[in-house]
Amino acid sequence: MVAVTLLSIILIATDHRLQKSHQIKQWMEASLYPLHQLIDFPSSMSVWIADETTSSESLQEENASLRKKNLLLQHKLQKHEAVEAENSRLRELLDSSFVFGEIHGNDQVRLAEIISVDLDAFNQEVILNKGSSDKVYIGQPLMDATGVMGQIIRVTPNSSTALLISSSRHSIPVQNRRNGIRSIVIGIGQPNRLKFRFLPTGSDITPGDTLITSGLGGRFPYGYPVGTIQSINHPEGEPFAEALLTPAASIEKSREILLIWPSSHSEITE
Amino acid sequence: MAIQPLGDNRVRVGTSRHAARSNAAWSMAAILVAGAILLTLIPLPETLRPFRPHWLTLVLFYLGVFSPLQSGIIRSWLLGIIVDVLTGTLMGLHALTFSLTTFIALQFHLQLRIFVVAQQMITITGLILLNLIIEILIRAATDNSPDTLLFWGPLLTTPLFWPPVYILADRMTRSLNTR
Repeated sequence: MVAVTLLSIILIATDHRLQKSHQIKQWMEASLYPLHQLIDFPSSMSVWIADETTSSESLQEENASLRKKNLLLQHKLQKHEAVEAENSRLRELLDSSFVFGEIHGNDQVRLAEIISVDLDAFNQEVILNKGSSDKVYIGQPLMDATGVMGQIIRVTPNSSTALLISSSRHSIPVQNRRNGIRSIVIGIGQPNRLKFRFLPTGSDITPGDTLITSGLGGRFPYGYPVGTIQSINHPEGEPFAEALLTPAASIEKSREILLIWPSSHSEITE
Repeated sequence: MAIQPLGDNRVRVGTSRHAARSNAAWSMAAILVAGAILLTLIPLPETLRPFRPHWLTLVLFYLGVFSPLQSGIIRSWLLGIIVDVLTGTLMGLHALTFSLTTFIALQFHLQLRIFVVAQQMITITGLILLNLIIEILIRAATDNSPDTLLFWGPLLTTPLFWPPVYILADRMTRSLNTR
């Protein structure tokens, strides 16, 4: 028992040190992935059955509503493109060295699915059905339709593990969309709450403000929504205030997520 | 320090019957462990997730107490490594708690065997408390401490699931042995 305890502690320490590149763990994860797929089978099966058994009537209805939505989005996109063009023109006029804005339009996006397997309840990690064979890489940002969800921390050939922004091990550089105040948002281990920290007391921030990724650090591209401020707390005698925010992404509900290949990725790594 | 399992010392009639019985015991252990792994990974609604019972601790406790020949500290440790990979925890965390559970169950299996179910439930509560304390210490040491009291949820739910697990496993043992 003593030997086994010591062995466990050594293993825990080494695993903690080598968190990222870890051949043995990667290999084990890859070989145990079929078990994850097996457990995911009932839920993917039920999705498939639901798809197969929808009547043509409801499909037509859905199609019509999607077409409407598409039209609206197209309309928005046209406006967006005009604004973006104007924005870059203004930047040129200002001779600004701000490069992150240009990235936004050229990001590549692909759909992946979350395998419905419960990992540890307090680690805030999920398994995705895309791996290094789909060019998924460690540190890659992922999001759902409404906001940033997290980043990839482990990759095997056919699957990958992502750390969600709600994890207490995750922090993400953000800025306030309204006035550009920059800081860092960290997770607190709960899927519906994030914490905005290192906020100088007296800085201009109010509940309802939307925070977007600032692009600093080069991992998350600029301009994706992270969350909205819910409440602000000024502790007495502390130099910094703290704010709680609700994540923009529906972290506990999404099954389909988007993997992003920022167009600047190659420049940053090379 | 490891204790030698004493095994089933009841009537042994011939070696072939004994072999059949040990085969049955092995298959039962495999079924229990596989079932517990599935229950550990099956998705639950977000509100129930923190209260998921420690199924594998229950199964390892059962095997250690009632089927010590199929149990073993090293076996539990290896199982723990697999579970660590499956659930994405630090390698060695479950290995440590599982081998400790098995060690305690094996060490005291003669006493635990004659306990009534309520006493066994209290023992399991103590075991889970010990496991959770080890887990929170490791998490604190690796900057991943959970900020919520829900962490202690399994302490309430796991003992509640001991009677069904015990009855199910007991029935299985009986039906496999009489076959």
